[in-house]
Amino acid sequence: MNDASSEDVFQNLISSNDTFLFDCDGVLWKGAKAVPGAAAVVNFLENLGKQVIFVTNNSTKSRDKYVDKLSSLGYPSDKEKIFGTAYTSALYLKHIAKIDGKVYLIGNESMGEELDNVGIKHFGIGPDNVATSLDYDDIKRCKLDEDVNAVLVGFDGHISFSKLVRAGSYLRNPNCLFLATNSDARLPLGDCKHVVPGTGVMVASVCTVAAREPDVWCGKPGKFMFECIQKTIDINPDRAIMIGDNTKTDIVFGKQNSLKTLLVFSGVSSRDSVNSILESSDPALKEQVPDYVLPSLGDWAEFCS
Amino acid sequence: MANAKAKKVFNELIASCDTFLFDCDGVLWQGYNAIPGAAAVVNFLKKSGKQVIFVTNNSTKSRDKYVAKLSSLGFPSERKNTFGTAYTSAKYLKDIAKINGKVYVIGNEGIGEELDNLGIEHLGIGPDDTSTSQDYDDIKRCELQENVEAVLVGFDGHISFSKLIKAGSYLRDPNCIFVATNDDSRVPLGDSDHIVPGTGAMVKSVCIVAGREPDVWCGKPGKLMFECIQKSHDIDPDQTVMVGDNMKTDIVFGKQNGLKTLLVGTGVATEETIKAILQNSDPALKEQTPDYVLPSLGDWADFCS
Repeated sequence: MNDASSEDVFQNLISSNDTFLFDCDGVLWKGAKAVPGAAAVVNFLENLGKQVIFVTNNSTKSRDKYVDKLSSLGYPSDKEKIFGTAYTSALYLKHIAKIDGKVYLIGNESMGEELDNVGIKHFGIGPDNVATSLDYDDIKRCKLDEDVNAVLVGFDGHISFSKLVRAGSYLRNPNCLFLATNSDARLPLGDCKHVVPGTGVMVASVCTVAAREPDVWCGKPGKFMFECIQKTIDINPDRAIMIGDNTKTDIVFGKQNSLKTLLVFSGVSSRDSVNSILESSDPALKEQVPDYVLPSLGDWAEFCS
Repeated sequence: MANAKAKKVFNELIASCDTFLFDCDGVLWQGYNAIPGAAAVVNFLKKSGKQVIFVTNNSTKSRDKYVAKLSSLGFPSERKNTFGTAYTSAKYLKDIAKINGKVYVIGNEGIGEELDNLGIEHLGIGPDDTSTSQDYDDIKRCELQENVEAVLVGFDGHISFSKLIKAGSYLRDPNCIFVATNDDSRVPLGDSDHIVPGTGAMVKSVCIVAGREPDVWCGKPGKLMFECIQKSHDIDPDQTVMVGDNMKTDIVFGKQNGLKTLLVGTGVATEETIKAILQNSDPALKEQTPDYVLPSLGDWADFCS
């Protein structure tokens, strides 16, 4: 595991990679604030002719909304370079599962937007408090639709008991596909005394009631998200590097897809967490060890002029 | 393992047991319908001088409300013979944890009632949609109170994103006790198209956001619930049988506490389950294998006159 803080290592990575894949939360920004110096680095790479791609597990924005957020924080981009799980799950349902019925969605408006973009019928977004007790008459009021071919679970700020009743009931049918965006347990929101549940919490509650695990994960870690990117972008994995803040998602994703990996400490994972992984005798943790570490992407700003 | 449908086995149990512990859902009733013949059996046991105690993982009723439900379905009872997890968790917090401060409750009115009965200050019951997005300004509106010494999780039909933020944030403090009523992943509601999440779904969501498992479980399986019963009842485990419909909760509970165990097939376990384990009991599932099986408690009604 190499420290990427020095200019030598930075130059080495520039010359050995054509494609730079960036996670967003905890790498380029924290909450609504750009990580200082990070934009200068990303723009420098683009000016050098490197392929810069943004790859995020966050399902709450469509590609169009991500373009807006990236631009507003200093990372001008276009939708072809942005891969979020709202987009990849819509692609999966359209082109791989080839869904013709409806999708019951525990998710958010952006996931709805991406499904609309590919013409997939869906329902379930927004508040749902139809049943709030174990009273059977109350529960019966959650009427079940006939034609549900898949249940898709992403980030849902309106997760509720009624939604779990519906998802559990639809997933009773083994032919109903169970798709999840990602399993991140928490959202890193920078300096914050609040601990915020990630999509992993919504997915786990559906797994518990449905007594099933997802059939497909549309985010990191996994191969599907990378295959999605490769469909439209020419990438040589030998000359590509994944930069993220989360060893369990970004680093494993990079390794599974044979990319180089760089972990920054500006988000979820800390130097201590990486040291614990290095010291552990558990072989399963090896896939979380990054090739390179860097306190913050902004540390490279001084080399980018 | 013996089939308790035979009169000989019934007589054996009557002769060898002074105390009969009954689970409720799936043993005495299904939803709102009493199991035919079950009330006659329970009342016969009481008339024969047996100690009859009701032991349920359901946290949605205080002991008083359970007495009312039991009576209305033909099982007259009194609060001292009724143990639900709303009561056992309140007792745990009062007598064992000796809580002085507040308890953040993801739960229901039944739990609130039992906490009030013991003078424990609590907050959190009912709907909470303070925050429904990842926006930090939205999340900050989830005010965190001082002096929260425990987080108690039971059945909550109003489970929400805001509640998970609060629970996860309070449980960041390792001195804040994480108490859970039970782990049942579903609530069986008899013939139903609907699959209904049990408390296990709520507890799992809190475990994931908090990055912790419960410190204490106040239901079945476990020793705490039995110790609670023993505090107010003279029970000889050798002369006691636990009657339940759920191998993972009722039977394990019985075995952990040195009791005889009887599985009925009118709830989580069905007649098919009973037939299957009579033919072939899996040695790997030893701690869940009952001493006796019985398709329905009502099958004993013929012997009870």
